[in-house]
Amino acid sequence: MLEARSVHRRPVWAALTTPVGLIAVLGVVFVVSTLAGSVAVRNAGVSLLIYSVIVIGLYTFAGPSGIMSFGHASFMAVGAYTAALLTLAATSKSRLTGLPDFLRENQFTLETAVLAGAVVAALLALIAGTVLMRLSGLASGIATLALLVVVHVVIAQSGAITAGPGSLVGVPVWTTPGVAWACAAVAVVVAFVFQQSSAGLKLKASREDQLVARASGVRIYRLRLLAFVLSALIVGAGGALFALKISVLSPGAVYLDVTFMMIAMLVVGGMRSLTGAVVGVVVVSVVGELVRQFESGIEIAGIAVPAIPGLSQVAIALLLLISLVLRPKGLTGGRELHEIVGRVMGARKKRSVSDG
Amino acid sequence: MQDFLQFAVNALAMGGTYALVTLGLALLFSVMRLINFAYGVLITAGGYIMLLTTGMPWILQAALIIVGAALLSVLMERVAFGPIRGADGNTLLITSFAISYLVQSVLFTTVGSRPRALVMPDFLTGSLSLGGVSIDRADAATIVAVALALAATSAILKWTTVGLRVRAVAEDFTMTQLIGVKPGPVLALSFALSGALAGVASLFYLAKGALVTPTIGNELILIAFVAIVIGGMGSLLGATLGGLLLGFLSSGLQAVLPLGVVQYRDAILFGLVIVMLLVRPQGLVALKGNKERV
Repeated sequence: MLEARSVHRRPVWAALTTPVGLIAVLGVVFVVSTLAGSVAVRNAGVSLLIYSVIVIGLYTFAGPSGIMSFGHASFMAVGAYTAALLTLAATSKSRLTGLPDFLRENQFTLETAVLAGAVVAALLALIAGTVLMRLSGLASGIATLALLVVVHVVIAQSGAITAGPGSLVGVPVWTTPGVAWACAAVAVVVAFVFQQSSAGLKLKASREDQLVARASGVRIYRLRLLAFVLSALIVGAGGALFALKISVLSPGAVYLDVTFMMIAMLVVGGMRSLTGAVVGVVVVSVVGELVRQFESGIEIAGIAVPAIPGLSQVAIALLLLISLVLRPKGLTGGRELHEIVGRVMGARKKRSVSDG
Repeated sequence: MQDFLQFAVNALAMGGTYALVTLGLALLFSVMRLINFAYGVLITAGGYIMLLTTGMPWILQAALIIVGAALLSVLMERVAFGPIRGADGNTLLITSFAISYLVQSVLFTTVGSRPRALVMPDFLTGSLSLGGVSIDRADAATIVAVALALAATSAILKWTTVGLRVRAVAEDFTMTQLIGVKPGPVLALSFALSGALAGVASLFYLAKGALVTPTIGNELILIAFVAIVIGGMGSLLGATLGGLLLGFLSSGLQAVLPLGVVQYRDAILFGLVIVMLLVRPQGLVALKGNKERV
């Protein structure tokens, strides 16, 4: 439901607080991971920034349309495999006989790989979306999950192109904190512009009330498809960055676990706002990393804690469950940064007036 | 002819295992519109209970697994699904993902991701010969057990008062509330029954590979999703038939598809799900008033 807060108009530039603020927050992550000098911090930072791209991508569809997708890891997978196949050294992919010659014999640049990953994922979304976007509710949830399995099976079984259920080894590690931050910033801008655009607003209207929106002339199917393709474009780029960080890519690396992770991040932050997407990524990553410190076993106040592998996954699953039960709209409650800032400022102004 | 008989027995056993799982899932879907991805966890749990109780007589192990799965299922309802009852279907699905991931990670931290071998009793290994047709013992036992489990479930749903309430709630939730049916016991029974079915399914599903890993239930659960969509999510009969049908469909495709395509069998099955949702979202067997409103 639309609440009174959206009726109360603020100057247009105030909304810009959101993208600028979010890019700045991610910029802090970039600066910390660059300056920290520790490999672990740098990796965690890059990983956070890559997940920001992916989750912002997922949000671009799920937020404005109100439809959760369980299949976005398939776009990540397609982006990752495209990028990996483009950037592998020619010697490492000579045994992939199903690849066209120009791909097998050449090694492409980072920019080409990320763009190609994005475009191929968007093409997949365009094809799949013509069917999937006609569904709503639970049917669409299951259908997107089915898409994930279809893409996974095709990738895992096409050994001549993807090295099959085994792994692509030796993908160059080219995703630096700077590259990841730049991509995350672009993702923030694209998602923000889309949700403020006429198409984005109409899609939000269809989320609030499908019948009224349709009666007012909103072409829901076309708008959903547009959002789906745009969203896949961003997630595909994120997948490419992901492949160019982990160096060994297998079908299992871009399947159920990452699906869970991106949904957990979006839901914890709040799936109805771009701010929620970024907040979710930051909170889940930070909690995950903090708990990970315990995995290898540490000493607290002289007491040795034994190593517990996989503890951070347990923590993230618990975090998601708790937030689903206690705060189903996520930490941001579906508000954007400028709305949150506006509320805080408003409350302060009111207080100072009543004080004076 | 012999080949066909062998194929039929094999498909029936496979379909039977699916049918147990799809019936369990459909029970939950019809009472609270929950698609329970965490159902796979119960299958996995069955495997680990078997591992823990290695050395006990099989029948005792079986009882422990069935009761254990039923209790775990009820626990899930108490802790997670109960508090958010009435949330929309996708939120419930996300919750079930979270539970599944939680249990898998806990298993990973405690027992590790390494596959562990299970000891199977003699009557579940090897094959027997019936009039020249060789049949896997596991298949024969599965068919018998599935028949018993389905009969028991339908007896409970048909002839007990609480079973009647479950069916009533499945048909029209609001109406049953108005005439004073308390949802608590109904949900508890649905989750317990559905968990027990998972326990039985786990006994026979794991007999074939005789292995257990923290994620072993996932594959079965994904296949079961295909079956309930094909059979009809809101209908218990439809889901059961969908499970059986999928057994035949998937072994049929395996036999018929040419080399080079056959490895994409699962992709074809899941593609079918999308087509079904588009063309006949209520499934092959539709229950009045329980259609997904699109």
